[in-house]
Amino acid sequence: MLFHSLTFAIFFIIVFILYIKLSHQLQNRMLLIASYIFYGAWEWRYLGLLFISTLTDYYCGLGVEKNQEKSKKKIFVYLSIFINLTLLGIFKYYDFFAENFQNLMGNFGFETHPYFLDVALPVGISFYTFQSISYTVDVYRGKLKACKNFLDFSLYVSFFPQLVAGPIERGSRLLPQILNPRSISKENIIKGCYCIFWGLFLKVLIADNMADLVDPIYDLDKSTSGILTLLATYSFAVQIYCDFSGYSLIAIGLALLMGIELMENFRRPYFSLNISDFWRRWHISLSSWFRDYMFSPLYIYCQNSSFLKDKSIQIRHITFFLLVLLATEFLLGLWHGAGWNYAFFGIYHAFLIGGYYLLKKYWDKINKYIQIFLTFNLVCVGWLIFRSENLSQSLILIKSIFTDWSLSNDLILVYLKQFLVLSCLLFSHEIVEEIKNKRYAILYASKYIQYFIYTCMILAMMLFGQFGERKFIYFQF
Amino acid sequence: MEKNEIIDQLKELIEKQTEKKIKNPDENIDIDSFTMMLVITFVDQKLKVKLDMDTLDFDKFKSLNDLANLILTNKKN
Repeated sequence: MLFHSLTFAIFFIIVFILYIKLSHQLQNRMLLIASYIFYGAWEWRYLGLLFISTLTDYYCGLGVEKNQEKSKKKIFVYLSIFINLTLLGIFKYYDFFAENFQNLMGNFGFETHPYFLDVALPVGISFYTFQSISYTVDVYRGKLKACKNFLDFSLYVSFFPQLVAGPIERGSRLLPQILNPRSISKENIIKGCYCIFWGLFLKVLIADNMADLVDPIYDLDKSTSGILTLLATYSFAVQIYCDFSGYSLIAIGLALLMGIELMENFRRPYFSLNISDFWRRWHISLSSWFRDYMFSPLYIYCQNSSFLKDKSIQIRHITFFLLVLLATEFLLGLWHGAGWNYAFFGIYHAFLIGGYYLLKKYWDKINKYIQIFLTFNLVCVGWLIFRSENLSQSLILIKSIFTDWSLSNDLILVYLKQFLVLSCLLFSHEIVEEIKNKRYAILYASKYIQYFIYTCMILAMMLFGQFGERKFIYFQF
Repeated sequence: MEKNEIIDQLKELIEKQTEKKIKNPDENIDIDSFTMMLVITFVDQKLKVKLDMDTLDFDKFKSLNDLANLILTNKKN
């Protein structure tokens, strides 16, 4: 059930009408049923996985709270991590590792026949398992009390607007909003509708039309014109941003209509001054998850060890930072998908972030606009690796960008026109928000300007929008 | 070690790292992960206080005052 499909529109209207009519407790029960219907519409057999994850963390949260001894509390945290990561490992990574094992053994002359599951990836599994784990860890850290009501907790894990592609919420933010009565305000309805509308515009008009420029180049088996490859890569940068931030905005908007505030997931990432800044603006809910639940604990673990104990503060800090950064970014890359290109995407970003901090005093002296330009291009190299089928395709595409600059291909002008028009639509809005440093910039414009912009957007979507045809990219993760 | 002394040392460290002046101890210092981790190493090696990773809350890294309170709490434990 895609957000930009008629089926979802009907589904949400029914949910919203019921929501308005019901009391707080019944709202929660109805939302839980709706969330399971929403998820079941993708693949009903995977509802069991969602249920296992929910059940695990519900009891682990209670177990952590009930026990006074730290060692006993830890057992429940490890149990939650073990069960959630096992589910993720089996359904997302098992075939990948089995295939790699087979190839590795083959290289040494051993023929192996591992068992392959060959099942479709359960949609949203990487999102809800991470959300579930963060709850138990936060209960352990004392950031929130364990939820006593199983049905309310189930809604926290399965809340349908953000179930399949985030934002990955934290218990300390979302649970209180589920447990306490909510009000539907005029302000939230206006903001919610604006988010849904702008999110749809990003997805159906910009992202899906950009995809028409990306797919033909990236689906080719051989290299093509360097300019076309470069344009397709820039197009992909815009496509993935509009696709994913579009989804997040729709999720935020749907939740706002029901009086629930979800966290911001993107903050104009292509205006980042450096790569570290980029990760504070891109997929904020995931990057902050990795910072809080992996990077920082791992760093402190290294810090508390006796390793390099006799070295200076600076040397210990830089060594641990780089090592932990590499491990974290490697896993962050793999989180996106079971493929070496994703792992390499993560490693590439680890090198960029590490490099930035080592050269910070030089980088920060560069002109601000050049910093933005360089950061965007470095991010685009990462997108090229990310979008490629495999690492060898990445190398072919990078090589073609630097070697083949022939202008004879007729497609170049077509690509350039479409890329510029769609980019202008996105960045004209982003520039205003960036300058004003304000979200929902259009909402603060005069009524006439707003009506004019909305009319243009509706017309553009009706004429050129692609409704219900392409899935959101992040659904595959 | 007194709270003011801790604040002074942290101020010097963070200002040097971020090249930004911190006007008062309650000001939002808005530090990135790199500086955050440098603070952790500094606290361990220079102030001889081990921060408990099980209960560490990064929301408490907002100002010099918050950091000093966090260090003093961990020192007592």
